[in-house]
Amino acid sequence: MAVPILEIQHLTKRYGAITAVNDLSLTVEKGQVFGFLGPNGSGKTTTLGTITGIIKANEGSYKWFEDKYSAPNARKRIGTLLETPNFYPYMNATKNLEIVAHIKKVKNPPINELLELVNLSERKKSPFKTYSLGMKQRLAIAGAMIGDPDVLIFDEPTNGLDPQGIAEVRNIINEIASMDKSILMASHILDEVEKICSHVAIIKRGRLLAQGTVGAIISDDATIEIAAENLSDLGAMLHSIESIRNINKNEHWLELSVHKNFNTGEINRLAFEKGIVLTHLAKRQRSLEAQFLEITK
Amino acid sequence: MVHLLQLEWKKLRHYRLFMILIAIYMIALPAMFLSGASMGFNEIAGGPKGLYIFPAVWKYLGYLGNWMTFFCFGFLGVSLVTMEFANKTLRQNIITGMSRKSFFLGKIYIMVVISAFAALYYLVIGLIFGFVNTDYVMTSRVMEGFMILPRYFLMCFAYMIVAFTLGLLIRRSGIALFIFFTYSIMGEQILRYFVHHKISSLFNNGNGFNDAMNYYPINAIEDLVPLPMPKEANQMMQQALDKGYNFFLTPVEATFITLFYLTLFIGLAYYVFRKRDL
Repeated sequence: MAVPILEIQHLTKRYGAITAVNDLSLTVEKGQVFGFLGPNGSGKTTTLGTITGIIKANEGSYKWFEDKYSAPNARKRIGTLLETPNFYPYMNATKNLEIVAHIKKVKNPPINELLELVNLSERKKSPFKTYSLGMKQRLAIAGAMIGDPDVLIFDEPTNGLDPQGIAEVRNIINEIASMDKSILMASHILDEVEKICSHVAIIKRGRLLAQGTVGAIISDDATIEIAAENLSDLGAMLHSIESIRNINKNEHWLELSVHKNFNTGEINRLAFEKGIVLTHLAKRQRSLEAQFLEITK
Repeated sequence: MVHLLQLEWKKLRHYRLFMILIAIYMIALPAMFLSGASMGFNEIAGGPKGLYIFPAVWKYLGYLGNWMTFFCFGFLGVSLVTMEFANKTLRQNIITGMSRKSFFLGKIYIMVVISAFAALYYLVIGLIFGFVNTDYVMTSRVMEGFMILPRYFLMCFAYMIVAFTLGLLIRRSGIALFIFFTYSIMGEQILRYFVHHKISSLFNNGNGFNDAMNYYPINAIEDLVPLPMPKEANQMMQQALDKGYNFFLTPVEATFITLFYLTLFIGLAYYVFRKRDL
């Protein structure tokens, strides 16, 4: 049985004339790595701000852990990194994490181990304000891990980081995902969602456009590009293959829509038998990116 | 409550501005009081050690403390909350698992503790000055300090609450501090002696003075530990009294009016804080 961790129902948040989140409903279940995907300004952070208690929705509701706990106590069981890492600038990493542990009422938090996990042990005695953005972000991840929460929320965790920082943060998130935790991650970077997430919801202008497993959202279609010296002979031959759903012609080659399991070797063999020499043959999986652009068009 | 106080202490222990303001209060209160003698205030107080003997020491030290708490703890009251806005740690505290109520309560508790500390410090300094300088110590005169103590505490707490409320509503420390200090030092005088006076003159045949002019928040808080009056000023006061106007609230009046404003300010701050996005 799938256990719902978070249920959002008909959430609406308006800022004056602007509707940041519009009648949004979705459910996240235990064990999912849930990607929350949308362009900048689509309402991802507003939604996450609402379910973490800092933004008051105009309409709708949300439930954590099937309402087993009060809202603040539910938040104590969730590790959250929202937008920017927020800590007391004049305190060092250890002291800042002690404050997080104090609020969550965690006795003897494994602060050194967590700083080890996010690679900050060497700088743990420096004040937060002296950290680079990457270090701040990693400290925020360590902060989110205090109290060993079952659910983690990451909002654009790699935003503004350099390539090395991005790689480090992704590694940490992958490591956390492998610890059997549920993760809710907002991002506008498709590659990130595709690599890390099991499920995805796509949001645009505050509205939910699609929701499902990453496999289902990425369509079954694949595209084959094919060219030969004589395109019309090739076209005639391809029309006889039933499993090709559609053929588009452009200047240089033909584009075939096929199922993603389609075997390109079959085409090559047929062409060879008919004496057609192929000059180009390539198969492309339709990426989440193409899908995303199509959905949010 | 202990849990929330511990949290506030963890935040403030390393916060330099907090330490500086506490240090200013602790050093300046006795130092400035001591320098009062060289500035000739002893004579005004009526004797070679007029400032420092029981029971006068309570009034004069109290008046100095009035200014010091206004400055130091007003400043601190604003910073306690604007610091959390500026660093976005308020949002983070809520996200981490605090309720808005407990965040708010934590701030109120720490202000109670700071005010209690300020009042006790006033008592200790007063006792030291008094015992060193008074030739014939009378218990009843020493005890007067203990009578002022609750009002001194209330004064400090009320300054902090007014400042804290402004900080919470405005969120930006610069603007909140500016409003707190200019309103307290000038704004309220203008309200009382120009606006209020003008309006009540219209209804009272040109005599605008009335007791309601004293019912303003900063004035009420100030009058909890009022300026001790030398004889000449007392005569002026008497003349005003004869015309039906009192410059000062009595301690009881000041206490009730301050409590009224405290309820109002805390209620307003809490109401807004509960409703607002952070």
